[in-house]
Amino acid sequence: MNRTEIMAQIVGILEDVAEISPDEVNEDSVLMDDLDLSSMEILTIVADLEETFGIRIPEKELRSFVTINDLIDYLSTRVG
Amino acid sequence: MGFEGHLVDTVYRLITENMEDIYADRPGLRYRGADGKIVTVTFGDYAKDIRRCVGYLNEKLGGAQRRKVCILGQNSYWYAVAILGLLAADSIQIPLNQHKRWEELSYELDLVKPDVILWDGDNYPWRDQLLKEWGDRLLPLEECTRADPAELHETANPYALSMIMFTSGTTGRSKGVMLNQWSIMITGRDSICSWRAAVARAKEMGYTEETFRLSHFSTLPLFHIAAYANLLHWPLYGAATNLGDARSFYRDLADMPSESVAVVPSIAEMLHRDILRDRRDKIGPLWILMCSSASFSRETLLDLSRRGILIIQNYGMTETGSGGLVNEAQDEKHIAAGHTIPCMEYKLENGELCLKGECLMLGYYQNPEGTAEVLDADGWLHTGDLARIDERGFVLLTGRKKNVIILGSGENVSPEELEALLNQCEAVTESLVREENGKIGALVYCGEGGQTKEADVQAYVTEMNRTLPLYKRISSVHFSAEPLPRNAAGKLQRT
Repeated sequence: MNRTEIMAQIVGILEDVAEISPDEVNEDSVLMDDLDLSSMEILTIVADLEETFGIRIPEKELRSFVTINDLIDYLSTRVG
Repeated sequence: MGFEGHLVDTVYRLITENMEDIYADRPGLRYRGADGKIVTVTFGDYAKDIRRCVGYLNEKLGGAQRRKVCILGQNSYWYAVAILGLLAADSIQIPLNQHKRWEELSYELDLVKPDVILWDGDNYPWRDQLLKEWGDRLLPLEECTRADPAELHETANPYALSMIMFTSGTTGRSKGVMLNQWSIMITGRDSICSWRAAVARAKEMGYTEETFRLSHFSTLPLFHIAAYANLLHWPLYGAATNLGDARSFYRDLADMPSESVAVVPSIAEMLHRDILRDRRDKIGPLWILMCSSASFSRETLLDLSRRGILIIQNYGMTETGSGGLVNEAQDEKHIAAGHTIPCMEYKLENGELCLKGECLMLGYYQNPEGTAEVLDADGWLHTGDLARIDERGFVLLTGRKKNVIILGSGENVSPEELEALLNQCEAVTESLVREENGKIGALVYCGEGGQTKEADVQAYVTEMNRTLPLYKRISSVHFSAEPLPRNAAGKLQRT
């Protein structure tokens, strides 16, 4: 799966979990600041990503997820 | 299930009477097994595993009584079994927060010097340090039921220290709150206040004694007093605990349909949005929200109540051992308030809420100065919360006296700790960390002509956030053109 496809999945999940319009999301968006996500919402998004991509994301990776780009970078290495 | 519980006051009786006798065939605990399927354990089988755990502890420790055991891991069936097993074995247990950084965990471990550490072996950021420094005392949590069931005995002294729970201090160093089993069990007996409200609502909904069912869903971590106490309280009524994980909240809730859910403000907001968006399908048969750990939005609670959700609030802190204030009033004026429970007295001192009663902590572990700061000679605990009491005796919280940020996730964060990290950035002259809508915000002054440094500060914060647990991240930075206001003593003005 390439970066564009991964981005599309993330955008879909953001819309479902937090009603964030796809227009508001870009690769540099900061999860907690630009997208105003709570830590609980980030966990829900991570769970949805795990289900979508059929992977388990280890606890210690969560710390590196600050921007959308971080999520795409990580997912690319796992499912790219 | 029935509208009445069987209220006992020791863990031994809870296991031998409620779990092994009265409610033995009922579901006691549900969880997701390694194969992804939901496992339902009856109270009877749960109790058998608790006995096995006591056997295991006795075997590994050569007698588990009064020995110190840390638990470190994600919520799991074995975690629950270990909590009850350690109580039944009269050990001293220390459930630790696995999300903390190694410096904090290491401080706590060095302070309590556990005889053993039960851990789940997950791939934590601090895994290597733990193995290096405590490798000879580690035992796999999942093995805690691998022994023959032990004979149980009534506790020698229900008032003796049986658990230490760490709570954030105002200056960053966590403090070990010492509690006994009496504290948790007596608040269970007194939580009948909220049980009655649930039963009254169930009757309105048409349930009978025979059809009444209650399963309680909890994703709150078991090292947190609310989840911990729930684990001991629901078996008093024969109600099952559905043990979920915050990371898979909706999937777990869908697979373990629950009438009651334990929530912190951020989860309440999420569920409220689901209801507003007509997505009740996501929340199943849920009709009770057990709210605790931080202040909730009154508007959200009122709206949820109008939409048929029973709002029950529990106010307390680790230091009150799950006791404190309870509230089941649904009216506009009182929905965000609380009233006392039978085992507690309360008073206001200079506007600060003070509580007294049998469920209070024994003190902070090896910290008499810290204890004396909050627990006075007459036994009153100074909560640090400002409150007023209305004509009907309801306590309404109005603010915080102490400098601790309590977030929407229920986590307590010391602003000084984050300010110290921010101030390490060269571009930052001074900073103030505060709560902004349930999240953490920072106000930064970069010195004269500091505008040019703002991008550096933003970049620094982004990188700093990567080193912090999710709940401690700074979500927004604002800049001040002036030095930050200070009081006469030279301290930052926080309000």
